[in-house]
Amino acid sequence: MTSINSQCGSTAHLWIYSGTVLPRETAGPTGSSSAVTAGIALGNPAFTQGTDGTDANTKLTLAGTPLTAIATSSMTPTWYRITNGSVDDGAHTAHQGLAGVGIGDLNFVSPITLNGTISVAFLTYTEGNLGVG
Amino acid sequence: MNDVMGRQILVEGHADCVGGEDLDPPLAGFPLLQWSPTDPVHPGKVVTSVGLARVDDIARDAGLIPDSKALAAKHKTTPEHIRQAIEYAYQASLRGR
Repeated sequence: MTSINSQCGSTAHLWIYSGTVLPRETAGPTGSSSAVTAGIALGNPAFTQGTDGTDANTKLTLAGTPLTAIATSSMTPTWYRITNGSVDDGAHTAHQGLAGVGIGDLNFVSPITLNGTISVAFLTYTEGNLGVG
Repeated sequence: MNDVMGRQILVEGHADCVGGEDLDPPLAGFPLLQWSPTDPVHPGKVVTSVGLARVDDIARDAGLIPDSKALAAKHKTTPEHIRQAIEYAYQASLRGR
């Protein structure tokens, strides 16, 4: 799981989108489908490993929070993507997931409005064992 | 019976957007619509999140095609997007937009 920082690289960006979730290999949408035209720059490393993490139960938390940006459109977020670098062309996708208002991995309190301040309070990945049988 | 070990990942996050300039009527009650003054296709126009169809185009066509599925097919979106687009256009018309 710690390899997510390797996937993110040193200049990772967070993109917040609306509409249908696109495949990882597809370039992110532009215009009114994108909350922030240039993405939100993440720290280096992008994630911090918690002290309670073990090989079987690793917690990685987005570094440098709260991350803020000024919205360039008005929309309801439905998904997000983290890219290695500042370009979301589908070839630099490190991770993506669902977002929403009251739902999703990245849970917004309210929709996004033009020129509003987007604030990402936290984003955490926790890996654990899934025992079956 | 042998244990089969897999991996699971729990993802959780929290975000917000404070302030800003919303449209009148606001888009807060229309999660399937969106808007940007710099949209490369429809700058300054409210569009559906799927199909990127203009609300005003849908409202105009609604008088000619009184069927949400047919309207959705024409604008490459869904009947629910069509419903929100028409509702938004109606509320905007009440405000003289």
